[in-house]
Amino acid sequence: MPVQAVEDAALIRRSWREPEQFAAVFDRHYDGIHAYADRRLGRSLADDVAAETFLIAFDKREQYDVSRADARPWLFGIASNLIARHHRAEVRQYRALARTGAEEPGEDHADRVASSLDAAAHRKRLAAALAGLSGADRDVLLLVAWAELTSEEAGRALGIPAGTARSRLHRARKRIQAALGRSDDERS
Amino acid sequence: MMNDLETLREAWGQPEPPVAEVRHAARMALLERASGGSAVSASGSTSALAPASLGDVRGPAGLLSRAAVDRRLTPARVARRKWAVRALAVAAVAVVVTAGLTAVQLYDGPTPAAHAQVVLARAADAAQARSFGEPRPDQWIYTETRTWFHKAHDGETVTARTPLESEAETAWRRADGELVAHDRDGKLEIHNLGGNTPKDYATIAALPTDPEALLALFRERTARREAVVERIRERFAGHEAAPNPVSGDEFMFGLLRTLLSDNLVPPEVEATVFRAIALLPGVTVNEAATDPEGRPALAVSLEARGWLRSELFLDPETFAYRGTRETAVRDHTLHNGFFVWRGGESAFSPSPSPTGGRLIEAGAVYRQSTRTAIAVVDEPGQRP
Repeated sequence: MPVQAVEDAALIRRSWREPEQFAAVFDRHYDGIHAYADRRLGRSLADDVAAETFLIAFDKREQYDVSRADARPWLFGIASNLIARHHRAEVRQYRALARTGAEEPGEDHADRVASSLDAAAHRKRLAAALAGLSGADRDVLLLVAWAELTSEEAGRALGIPAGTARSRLHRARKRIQAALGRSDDERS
Repeated sequence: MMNDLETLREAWGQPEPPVAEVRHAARMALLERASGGSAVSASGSTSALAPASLGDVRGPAGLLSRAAVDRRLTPARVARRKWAVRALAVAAVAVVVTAGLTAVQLYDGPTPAAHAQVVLARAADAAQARSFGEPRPDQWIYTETRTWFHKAHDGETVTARTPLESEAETAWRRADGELVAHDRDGKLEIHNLGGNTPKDYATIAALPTDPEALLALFRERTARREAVVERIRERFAGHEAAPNPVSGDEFMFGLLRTLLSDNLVPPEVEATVFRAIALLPGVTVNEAATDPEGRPALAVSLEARGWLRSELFLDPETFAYRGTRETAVRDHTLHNGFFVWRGGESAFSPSPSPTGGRLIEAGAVYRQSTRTAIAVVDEPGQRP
């Protein structure tokens, strides 16, 4: 018999008749969803968003398209909708970062960022650019940059055509590149 | 030279992993919703114990990368290590404190409880006398199970006459607990075994062989879950759709049953499981029951959540594990989609199903399962 790794789709299908099996989907993806929400909204809202993502996903499990092996686009799409509810908190956080380079609660960022000083130097400018993006463009950009989805997957996650996702990504990246370009000019 | 997307990724770094308690509460909320308010079932054991959290494997110097964590300590490995350590500590304490109690409870008159204890003591003796071959860590435990369930939706009523759907499953679990394989439509799927009850043979074989110590170990490992359950109860007392998660002795019964249903259990431990069940108040035995396959069986049962009877079926002659059943003993409405996560603090809010939930009438079988085969084989996919 051929042996293969079990796919998300199979786990979700299994959960149709054995609901508890959905815990396996949680175990695989909770940390990833939490990390994504953490970057966009900070820790405390991320706790809520990550938990609610899986409750909503569970309720919608019978509508899952089991021809899609990887559930990440689906889960990140649910999370994106929840994150959108906190639009103002998100923008506030980026503005705070743009001012200070640190997130509002005085967390110990030194460890995380120390490995990449260049990137840290860019952070203030990037945060300012993120604050200036439309929510729709930011969703696609961050699903690609932070959730590491392809633009096509990001489109599927957000329920928009692949072409639309690509053009939003293109627009957002130009803003980001502009912000980074300016920072290089200033340094030289 | 990094491109803009990589720069964006690097600039924020990898956030701290979620706090273990928060993760656990989120998983609990999911499992509560998944259980639809049902009693612990064979697969419900997933809610039993908090999964090994990433928080436990972080070094003092900060974060390991996620990939490094995955390589170094799989959840199964972490869970097993914890079980082994706890088992020793708890066994040592419990034996001293509780010696003597069992003897008193065994002979307290011709009550149903006493009858249950006598029969379970017999079951324990029979189990202990079984011949048994230990699996090697690289061998696989083969099981065939059949589950019956309802696919009722909100607004529907389940009665004793509502037909159940059934599904058969063939599974291979490696004896070291690291991998499990399922036969799905002729394809064999293998995945790492998450889950929380001990699933590897070595840990199961090392469980305490004193029934009080075994219960103490399970209680210790589920203490945090019990605390969450307690908080849920307090918060929503009297609410129309108040959640009623299974807890305490009912939960212990479910865990012990799952230990038997999901694993190859060596004779000493199997005997201890029967003796531990005998210690749970309210346990009764029916020696003239019928299992879900229609065979004569011995049923060990306990009421759960105030509306369900949870049963464990044993072979009436050999006392070997046969299956489980949950039957409604009182009318009960299950509210699906029940928890709402509220911002700020990690809290739950119950909300009744807008469509009124599903009514499970007294006498209706809610769920049942049987195990029709268990054996040790050398390869996944191999049948005995």
